[in-house]
Amino acid sequence: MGDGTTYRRGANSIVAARARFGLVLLVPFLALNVIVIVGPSLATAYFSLTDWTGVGPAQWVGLDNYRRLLSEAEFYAALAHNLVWTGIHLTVPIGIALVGAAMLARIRRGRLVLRLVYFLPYTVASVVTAAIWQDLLDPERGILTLLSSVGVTVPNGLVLLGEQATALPSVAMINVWALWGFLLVIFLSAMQGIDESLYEAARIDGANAVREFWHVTLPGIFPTLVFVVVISVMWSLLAFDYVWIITQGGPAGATELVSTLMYREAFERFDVGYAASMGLSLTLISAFVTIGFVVVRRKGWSV
Amino acid sequence: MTTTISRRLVLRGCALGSLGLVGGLGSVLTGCAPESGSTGRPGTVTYWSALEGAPVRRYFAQEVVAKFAKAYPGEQIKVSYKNSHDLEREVRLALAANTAPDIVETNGPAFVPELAEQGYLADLSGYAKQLGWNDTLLPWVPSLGTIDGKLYSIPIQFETLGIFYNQTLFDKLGYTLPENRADLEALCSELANQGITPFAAGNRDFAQTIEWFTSVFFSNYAGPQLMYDVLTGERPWTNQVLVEAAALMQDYFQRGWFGGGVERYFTTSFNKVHADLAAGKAAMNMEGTWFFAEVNNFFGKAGGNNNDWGFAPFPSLRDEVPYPLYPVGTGGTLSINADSASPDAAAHVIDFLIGDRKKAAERIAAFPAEFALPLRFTADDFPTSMDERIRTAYVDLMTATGRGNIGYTNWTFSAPKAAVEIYEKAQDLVAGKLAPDAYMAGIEDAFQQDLERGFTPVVIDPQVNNG
Repeated sequence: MGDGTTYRRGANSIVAARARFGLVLLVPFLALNVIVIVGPSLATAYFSLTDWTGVGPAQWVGLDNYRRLLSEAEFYAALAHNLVWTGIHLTVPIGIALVGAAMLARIRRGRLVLRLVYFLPYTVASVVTAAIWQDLLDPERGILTLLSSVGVTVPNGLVLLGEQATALPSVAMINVWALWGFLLVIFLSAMQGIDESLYEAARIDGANAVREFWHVTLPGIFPTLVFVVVISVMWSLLAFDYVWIITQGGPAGATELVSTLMYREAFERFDVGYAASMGLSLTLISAFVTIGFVVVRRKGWSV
Repeated sequence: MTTTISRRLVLRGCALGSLGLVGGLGSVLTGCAPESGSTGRPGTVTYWSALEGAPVRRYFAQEVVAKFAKAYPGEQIKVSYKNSHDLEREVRLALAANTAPDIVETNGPAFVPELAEQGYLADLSGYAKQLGWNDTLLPWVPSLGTIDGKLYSIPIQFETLGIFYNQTLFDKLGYTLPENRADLEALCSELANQGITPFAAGNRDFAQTIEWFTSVFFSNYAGPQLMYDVLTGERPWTNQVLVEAAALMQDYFQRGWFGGGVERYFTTSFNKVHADLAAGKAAMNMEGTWFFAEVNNFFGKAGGNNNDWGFAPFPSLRDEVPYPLYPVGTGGTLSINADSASPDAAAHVIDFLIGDRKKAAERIAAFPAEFALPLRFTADDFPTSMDERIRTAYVDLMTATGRGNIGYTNWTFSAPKAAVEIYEKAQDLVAGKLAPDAYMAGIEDAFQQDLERGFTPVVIDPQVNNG
């Protein structure tokens, strides 16, 4: 009895010591996060309540920046563009990646090579990808000219990145092109974790490839799919690089996103306080998505 | 399932960091020291320069950094090169974090008043007097950097906007350079009928460059006095003359005279603009004198054609406006950090750059765009090896501005919020999304906010006898 208590005490003290050691190991990373994320985030929250221009003292203005934000058509237009961007990214790359991964999962020879090929665009720097696509979409020597020269009917004078209606979808599709291979790899990894016997059972029941995908593959990777959807929403809210490189929010604001508008307010108009309020609002929207994700996890999906 | 941090996530994190959400403000708060901040070592002058490209940086190292060290024993320049698009942002963050270099370069006089008001910049008046800067700078230049009677900045990279034209094409078709609106419109119509784009143009590489057009249309339609009154708040941006100027710019864009159409303008790169001009696909290109640095790469043997180029002022767009008129601009300013440990040495650096006209002219001859300082040059100051067209352009520019025939570039004379409104909404204007009167009303609104914040730059008075 006494020996058992001693043993448990010893075991407990080892566990406690390990926990303390673990905490010690975490300290540098926590400190880094405090310096890089928590401190500046608190500062951002503070500056969003001021009229700070980036230099000099900041005057307290209360909620004025948020009131202004809610009354600015420019902000709503940018937010609407973010929603369009999100809509495109929730459908096109996920759809292509799902179908691609399902097809790739069915073949054995060349799978690795194809996976690498599809993944390759994701490894190319966004400035390089942007430059390539700017040339590919050039109205005089790009894809449309090529299609036109081989007899495909192209609307006369169509300039994809220069037209109000087509600029945002065009930039979004460039981002999709760079991204979908990454999603494919994620989906493929998830699909490879599905028990093969489930497919065998489905085949015995007479399921064809589509039914297999619908009734076995999709439920099998559902947690991953939810994760990809959540991360896609967050990425879409934070989207910046391709728009800034390719169109800088133009033509005439047609591709302005909240992030590019925020950059302009902070570093062109020197309205840092207002830009901070914009950034914080975007963070809150992202937080809602993250909380939703956490709730979903607690419901029992191991994502 | 484990989540890995993706490259894109990191990239976007960095992007947002730079927006001030995380990193930008963070570096201010935590005082993260950017590279090459003020060293505190007397005699060593830190300087963040926006000079771009290896050749000009090599030249600067040889002709300025090395020769300065010889001229001033015990003093040296420690230069760090920054992307010109990012320099203003980095300087502001560094000033707020007390890690800015000894010599503070800004994007232009419009950015100086706020920094001076906050006490970040040293008063240069004493140095100007002691080192005789007023005798070498053009007479109106010191006023650009003077706030409440104190000199805070010296403009660098003096520039103007004008027409680069394909001389060979003009000669072949027998066209003459337009000097007024009627001639310009007749020429553009004729060129368009011939299937030649009147002006090669595009802002794909840098959307903000649409302000070249607003600067020219406002200046050459309104004229010096009206623009001066508007920029100083004496008259509103919504006055009828400027609304007409905006309408004219919208009309020319809609006719396809700039870049062959609005959509093409938004997707055409500078490289293509210059190549089209040199090849004769376009007859003219409305651009700044910084293009002197590159123009010879596109024409003649270097450009793979037999064409030649010329430069001329943009036509007057209203009878009341004089010709020639040059919209004046500066690509940046130099100031001394108020917290510099080496203010005297920093002043010596500025003096080294502006004090000797002949040396400064040699630097212009080597790199016309980067080292075009607004000094009292005469034709004799420039080396004989210099391109005659460039020399003539600079001398004409000095003469015309001396007579008060000046226009005002957006990036030099517009207050910060108004300046952004002008180039941001100009895209809506030329695309036909915004009416000219609404465009001008937006600018007026932004300008009033600048006035409230006290962020209006000094504007050259065209009535002042500039000598």
